[in-house]
Amino acid sequence: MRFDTIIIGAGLAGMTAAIRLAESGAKVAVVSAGRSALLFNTGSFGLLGFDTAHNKVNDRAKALTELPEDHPYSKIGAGGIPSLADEARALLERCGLAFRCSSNWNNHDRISPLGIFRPAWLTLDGLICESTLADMPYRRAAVVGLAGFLDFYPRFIAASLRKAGYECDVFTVDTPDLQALRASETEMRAVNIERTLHGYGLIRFAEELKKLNIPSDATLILPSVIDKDELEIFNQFLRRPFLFAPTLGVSLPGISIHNAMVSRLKELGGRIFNGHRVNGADYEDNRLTGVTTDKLDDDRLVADNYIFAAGSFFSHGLMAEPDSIVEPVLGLDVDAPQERSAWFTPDLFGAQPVMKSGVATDGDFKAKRDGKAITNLYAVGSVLSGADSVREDSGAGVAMLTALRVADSIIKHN
Amino acid sequence: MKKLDKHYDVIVIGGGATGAGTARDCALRGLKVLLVERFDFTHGATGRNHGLLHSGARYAVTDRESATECIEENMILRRIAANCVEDTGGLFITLPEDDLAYQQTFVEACQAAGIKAEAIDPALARQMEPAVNADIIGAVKVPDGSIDPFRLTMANVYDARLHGADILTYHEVTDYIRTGSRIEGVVMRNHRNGGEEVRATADVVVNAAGIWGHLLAEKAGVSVKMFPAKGSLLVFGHRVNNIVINRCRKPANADILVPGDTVCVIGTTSDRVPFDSVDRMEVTPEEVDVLLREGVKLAPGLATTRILRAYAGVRPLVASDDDPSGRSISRGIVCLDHASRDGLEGFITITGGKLMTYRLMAEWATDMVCRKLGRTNLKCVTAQRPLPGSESKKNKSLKTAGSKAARGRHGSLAVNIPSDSASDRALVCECENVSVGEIEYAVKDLHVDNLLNLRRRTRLGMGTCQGQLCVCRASAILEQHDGCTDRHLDDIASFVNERWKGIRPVAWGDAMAETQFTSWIYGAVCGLDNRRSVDEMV
Repeated sequence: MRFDTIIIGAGLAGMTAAIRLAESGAKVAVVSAGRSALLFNTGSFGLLGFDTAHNKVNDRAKALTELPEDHPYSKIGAGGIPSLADEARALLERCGLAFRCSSNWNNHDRISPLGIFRPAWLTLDGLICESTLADMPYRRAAVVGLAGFLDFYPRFIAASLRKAGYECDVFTVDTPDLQALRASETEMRAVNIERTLHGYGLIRFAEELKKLNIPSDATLILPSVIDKDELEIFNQFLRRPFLFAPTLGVSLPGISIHNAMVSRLKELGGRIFNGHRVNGADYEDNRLTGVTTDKLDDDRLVADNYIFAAGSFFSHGLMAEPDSIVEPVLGLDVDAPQERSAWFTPDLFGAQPVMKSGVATDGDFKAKRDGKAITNLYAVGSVLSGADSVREDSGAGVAMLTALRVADSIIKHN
Repeated sequence: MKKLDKHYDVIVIGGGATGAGTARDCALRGLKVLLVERFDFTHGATGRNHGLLHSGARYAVTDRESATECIEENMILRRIAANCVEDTGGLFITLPEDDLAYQQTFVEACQAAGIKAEAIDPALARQMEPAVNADIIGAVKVPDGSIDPFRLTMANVYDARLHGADILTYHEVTDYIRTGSRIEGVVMRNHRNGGEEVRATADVVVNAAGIWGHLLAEKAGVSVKMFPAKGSLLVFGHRVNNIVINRCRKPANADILVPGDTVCVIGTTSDRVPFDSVDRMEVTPEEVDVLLREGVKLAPGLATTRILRAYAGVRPLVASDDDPSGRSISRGIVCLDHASRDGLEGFITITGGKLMTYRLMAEWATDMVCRKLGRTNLKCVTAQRPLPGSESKKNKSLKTAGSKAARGRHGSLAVNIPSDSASDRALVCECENVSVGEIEYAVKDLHVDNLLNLRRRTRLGMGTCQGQLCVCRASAILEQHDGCTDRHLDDIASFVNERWKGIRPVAWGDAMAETQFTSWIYGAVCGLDNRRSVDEMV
């Protein structure tokens, strides 16, 4: 099968590149083995939350110029970041996703599932963050937990809001629809609850909320377990201001971002090979000429350009052998500390040198193999070396901005 | 400064198996007991060993006395601690590179020590335990098993409390109350209360602090020459074997593979380490390599099994008094009356020995306490009386995964676990099937107020995922009991980092993927990366 560009990986990076290319009229295909970190995203994206010394970034422009040379942002060039960031946000809007973004050059504070304020670049509309809360008419909040739902932390969130100067109480709500779910010991999870709180289930939920006699001057803070397409009904019945706060585990905002991007790509005619694992690649004269997958028997996937966006260790884009870090799909060169003893430090939340490992690329993100750049193969997102995206809180930014950079350069060359 | 308003017959220092066993024995004999532990129960070597119910066969050739003690205690523990013991049976295998002639010596030595050892056809051994190295040229069947040291210790604590003992965790003995040449009590620092000083008095103080007993003796002005011997082990993600597999040769590194609960454990190494390192044992890459290399010889399947974590404990080996050089170190029990030995009244040290002989150690120490108190009429009953949870097994029918797992962990005490409502039955830890009700029970009855306590009582966070989502769920339940939100946020960060300590030496393959996930979820998503990590060692 022939395409203009084949993208390996359907996470934030792969989907961004695919949508951008499809919007330019290119025929694209995405091959997805199916373990995207996006499913655990709580609805906020980071571009650069912390600088190299792990201080909270206040001046993003300045922090970007201080990154090491091999950082993906440095390859883009600090000057190129603002326009790509705008482009990223516009692309998400075209997917039907509206985000809160306080100003282009500063982070805003989101609130984590445990109530901790954290810097963020974009936060999905409707989710709690410092500014959405401040926009509410009242300085009073009521955090409402669901009976038997263990992945939402109303007491932690309330404690944090109190510290931030809000009057805040905790309530627990139950509805008959949740009782059936609770009968099983493992079913009270965000995704299942969302399926239960639909239609009449959602109306009953709103009615139960009203019965709690929560003071009328309090903003309700609810777990993000309601589908955004249902919000209109919910609003009609609830008739009071509310915000969603994130839950842990597979998360509804993350799923809805993923779904919105998939729909957008399909609308544009993009093809997605779901559940396919790339298991072979042919090279000729420093060019990738085609890939095979475990589900396409004799057929090869062939394209002019390839984008490798398979993610980091979590998504199996990188693999740690006992004594080396490898890229297991296309056999690409990897930048990584040599000895296992140099991979880690004792504090899990400190800098772990191994987390900067990734595929080696040239200045245009062309992936290297045996020391030479493959002329039609690009690497984007967290499979790239040079960023410790967990510690920097830069994962979403690196994913989208490198993907857009590469997509733009492919479009320009055609 | 706070003074406990009660005078005790005996204060036992150390919340490992020996200390808990001694407190129980004393309490069962009717003595007024205070048990003091500087951090949490099973914090030391008790929580960092193989979990092997030795038949004694391992020592039969080299140390007859230990072998005999082992097999006797083995039989007793099967009776009194049925809920902590799994009768897996054991094999001593001979590999082509080993000397098959040793097998005969071994079997004879076992029989002389009273251990039922029976040489069997290697083909039969392969049939009994399909995971065993297929190349074996010899096999001996012995009555090994596995034992859960966490449950065992807590059952002793529980029974001691039932019989009137007072119990203080997170209280570290910093000094003694003394008059002339008599110890009359202890001065403690309460780690949970800003380091408040607490005093308690007693007629006798028992030092049962494992390797830390060396320092406690020193503090009392007497010398017990201990040698810290580090033993490292690896935990695998599932049970590769169902029968304990040993190498039939003189004891060496990594020659025992023990199945226990949902995992199996290969160990150990044995190396002398300096005293100043005993609070911070780390498993080195070399130790990981040797454990894997030797372990694969016992059961080749280990080569392709995920390693969950590595850990190390410190054995309190003791040099005999007439050999201060430490050359003739024994694994036998050492029970010292410092009055006759050093002229210090009111102070006993019980040390040496091993997990298998904890009950006998407790009996010796309690006998000595009774002699000192002049109450030798009080007789030991611990060899006969079952531990709580290990009484005869009759129970309501168990339907849910959580209640079955809880029955396994808490035995007949599982009836105390709330399970009437759906909310109680909801699972917090899906790897080890720990329910909300079990956590509530642990808070109420098992001295739990942080995640580490909870892991040691319930196995929460010990399964394949090594504590991912279950940690926040459990912490939120604990927080409801005291409302100390900040302390529990610190606790989550500490717990995740404590798990990391054990994962780090073996973090490749899936462990690397999950490490990245954990640091992302807890660090970046939840925002715990700037929390103060509370280290129990500080």
